[in-house]
Amino acid sequence: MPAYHFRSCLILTALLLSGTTRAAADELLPADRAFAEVIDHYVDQKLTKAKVTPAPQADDATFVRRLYLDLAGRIPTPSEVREYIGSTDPQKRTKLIAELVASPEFIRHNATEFDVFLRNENSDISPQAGVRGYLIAAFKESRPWDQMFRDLIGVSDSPHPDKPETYVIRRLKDREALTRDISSVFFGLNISCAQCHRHPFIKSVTQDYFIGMREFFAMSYDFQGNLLDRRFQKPAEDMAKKDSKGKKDGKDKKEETAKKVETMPVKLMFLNGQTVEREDEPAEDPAKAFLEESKAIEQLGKTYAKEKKLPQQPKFRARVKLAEFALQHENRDMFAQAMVNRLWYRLYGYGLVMRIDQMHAKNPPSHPELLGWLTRDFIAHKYDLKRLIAGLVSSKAYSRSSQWKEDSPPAPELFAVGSIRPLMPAQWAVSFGIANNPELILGRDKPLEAREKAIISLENPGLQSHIAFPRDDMPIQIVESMRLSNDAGLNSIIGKQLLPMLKKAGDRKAQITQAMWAVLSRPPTVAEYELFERHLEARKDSPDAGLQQMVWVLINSSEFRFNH
Amino acid sequence: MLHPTKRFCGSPEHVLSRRAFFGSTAGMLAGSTLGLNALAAPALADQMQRNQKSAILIFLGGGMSQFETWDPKPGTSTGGPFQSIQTSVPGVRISELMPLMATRLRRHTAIIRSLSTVDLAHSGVNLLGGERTDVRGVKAPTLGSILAKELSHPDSVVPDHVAFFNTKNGANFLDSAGFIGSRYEPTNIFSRLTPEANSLPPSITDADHRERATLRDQFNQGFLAGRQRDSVLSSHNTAYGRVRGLMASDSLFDITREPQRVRDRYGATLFGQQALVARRLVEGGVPFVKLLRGWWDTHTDNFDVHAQLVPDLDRVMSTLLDDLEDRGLLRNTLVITFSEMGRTPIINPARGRDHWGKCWSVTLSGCGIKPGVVYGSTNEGGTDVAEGKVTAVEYFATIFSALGIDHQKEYHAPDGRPVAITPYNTRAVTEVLA
Repeated sequence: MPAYHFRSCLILTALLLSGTTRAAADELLPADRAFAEVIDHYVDQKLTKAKVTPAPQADDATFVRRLYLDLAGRIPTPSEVREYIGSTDPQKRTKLIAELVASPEFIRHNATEFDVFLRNENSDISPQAGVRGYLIAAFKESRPWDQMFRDLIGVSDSPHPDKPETYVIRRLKDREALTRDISSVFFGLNISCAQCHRHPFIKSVTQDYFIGMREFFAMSYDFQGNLLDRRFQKPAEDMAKKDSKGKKDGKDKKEETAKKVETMPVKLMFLNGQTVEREDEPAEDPAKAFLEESKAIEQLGKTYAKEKKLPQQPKFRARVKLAEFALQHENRDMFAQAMVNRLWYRLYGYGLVMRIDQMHAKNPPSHPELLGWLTRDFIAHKYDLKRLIAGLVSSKAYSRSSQWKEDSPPAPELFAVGSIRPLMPAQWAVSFGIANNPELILGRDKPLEAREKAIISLENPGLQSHIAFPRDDMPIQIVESMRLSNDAGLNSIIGKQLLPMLKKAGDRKAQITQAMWAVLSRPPTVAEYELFERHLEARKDSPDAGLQQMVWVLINSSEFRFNH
Repeated sequence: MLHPTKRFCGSPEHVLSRRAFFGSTAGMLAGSTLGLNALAAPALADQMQRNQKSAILIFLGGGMSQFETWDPKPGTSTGGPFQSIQTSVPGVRISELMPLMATRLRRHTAIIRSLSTVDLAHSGVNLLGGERTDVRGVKAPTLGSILAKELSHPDSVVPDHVAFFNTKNGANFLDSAGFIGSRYEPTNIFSRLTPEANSLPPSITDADHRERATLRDQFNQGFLAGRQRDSVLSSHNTAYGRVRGLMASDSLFDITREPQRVRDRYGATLFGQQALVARRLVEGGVPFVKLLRGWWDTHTDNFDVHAQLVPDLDRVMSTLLDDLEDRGLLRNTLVITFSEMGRTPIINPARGRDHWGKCWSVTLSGCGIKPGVVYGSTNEGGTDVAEGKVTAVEYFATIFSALGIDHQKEYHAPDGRPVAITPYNTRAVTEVLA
């Protein structure tokens, strides 16, 4: 095949895989426009085309609750809601976003969210074995996403004390899962189909792609909790010799030839089909070099506790090359847009590309120019996560009501109506704590450390364990409702601190109003007030029980359980 | 045509069959909601049970010896001290330790003597997953959860999946629903007869509990308005709707409602009583019940221990089968015996048998089974399969087929990948199917 023809095949495949159906740069809105303007421009454009009238904007109380849950991982206190509703400052939304993005809650909430998505539902990694400690530190210093990527695959210039590279170390025992997780999480493309057969939609993605991506980690190993690389590969002839021990003659030769064919070095291949040059360490006798290195590693392992000496590292490290290659100008779109899409999915309930781990040209985004603009902005601002998140929640599209008054709901990719998303266990636990006692939250005038401590005390892991972990379309299980209905311990803490406050509130109207504000962050409607008034009237002989049941109803309402 | 964003693999390797698409709905629609009244009204029960299918899995934890049960080899160097006895099936002999099952083989039970498995590490979980190697990277459901899902009715108020353990610890033997949803996770009951969470908390009366649930439902309607499009939201509401129904199913677990003579027949052991509860559950419409009976891991004193455990199994299993048959339930209930492995032909110096996967025995009784059949055989010393090797997934395929479930039916993993309930091209052992 002529060289140029081969090259053009590669380029074509590269384009197919990079999924940049994003329009040429001159078609995008200018880079200096505000996020809100850009997002609403493209979303409204598509709505107009589809002749769909979007839902109206959510009311202030609903919007504030949504914003607090998305940025701070908790419901707002009644006074926080009232402050926002009462403010006449035309910039109040922008200011609230800025305030929340600078809060200690923002750091912890994002550490939780990122920890979950980094885990990629890998069932071999226990929920406790995440990298949350590192993530908290990273968000505290507003670490850019490309640096975090380098930290997590262990190629950062300065190793981090919280050991982010344990992300890879924990996955070394299952290289296929590691390959799948890295590809899905950082590049938005799960190619594990290609482990066994070619990709169903992209015909040119064969097993080479999977093997090529996996190869970036082939030499990596765990040395006493450090992520290191071997200098020499285990020679395959070695394995052939082992196998042929004690077998009949004729068979030996066939097996040895077969093994020789397999020893051709595996290509390093990035997800866009580009191969990456490798420079293995030269060795006269590779088998011997490998054995000697293994011996050295074993020796150093024995003395490590005292001497802390690490085995010699190769000059060429494939993981380093992966980071370099993936972040290079021609290739970095894949990396950038994967995060853009993932954050959009998290905040809008539906990605610009769905499934979020199938970003390729045969699965185009619903709003290609929008994805393109956001990706370009993310790269231009050095992968600043705070900026991106703050930008995504500034649009009208984000703040639409989640109620759809007409019969047939609009297609989700139109973003015509606000999304309904179940709370994560951590969000629920902290919000539960606040609903029971809003005074546990310290105001913004208090020192950061004290505010952080207050939040940490509400992140009750025991409480979190009762709440189902949300996944796409996954129904909420009855175990959760059973426990909340029947578990003695849970039932005794629901409303425990709130009840004394309600009793002090005065008449029933005040009690109902205060309970609604505390749990659902809004005042009751007339109908709701009447419903609870009747209930409390029927319970007037045991008013405490009546109040407690009312609080139980509010805590177990769908409205509390969901971000809406 | 499947929605493009949901479908993951259109490759020929994962072609969906038409039959897989149409799942098995036949038995499900008969009112399982009536389950709770069924026990009070036998005629009603009969009508209902005509369609509802169930499975009871007796899992012998630790590795039960096939030599001392279904595939004895008396008079050989591996056979041990026990004799074999003639069963009601001409030419078929089982261990003398099982006289009750011996007389019932022809009426109820098929034996597979050639099961061959790989894992020798007490990993019940791996065996309950069929020792599959084709589902890497995905949390696939285990046998119990698949059966719970396939045999349950969506509106049912009784539990879908209950598992009894006669030890406090069953960590290695837990079924899991994996990606098919936590509804099919088992209610695990350790060393007792009733589940823990079902009862009222002490702080509230039943009347108040009910009223509270009603109040919640009324209050919730306001929020649900204009939001019906969301399935997760609906499921949250439904989950609360089912609570009262599930609590009512407490009566199913209450064996004091059984006449003393019935309780005596099952015996005063925990295993026996749990088996009686299992029958009540099945009668009430619970689709899957597991009875984990330990502990069979006889590396020492194999014969003494089996001399105790096997007659106990014999008694409980035969009572259960008789009882199901008397109530007209056996034709719709599949009773399965399984373990995580068998035991070695070689008797070790401690008069024990060690772990053995190469050839061991399992049985199937009831629904969809041709009784009296023995499929497969081992050689004279029981050191290898002689004929008809069966793998764990082939056994599962047989179980699914007996219950009218298409054993190649496909689920979809969260990453979109189709995962059939047995690996592609798995074949069932049709010789034991009716």
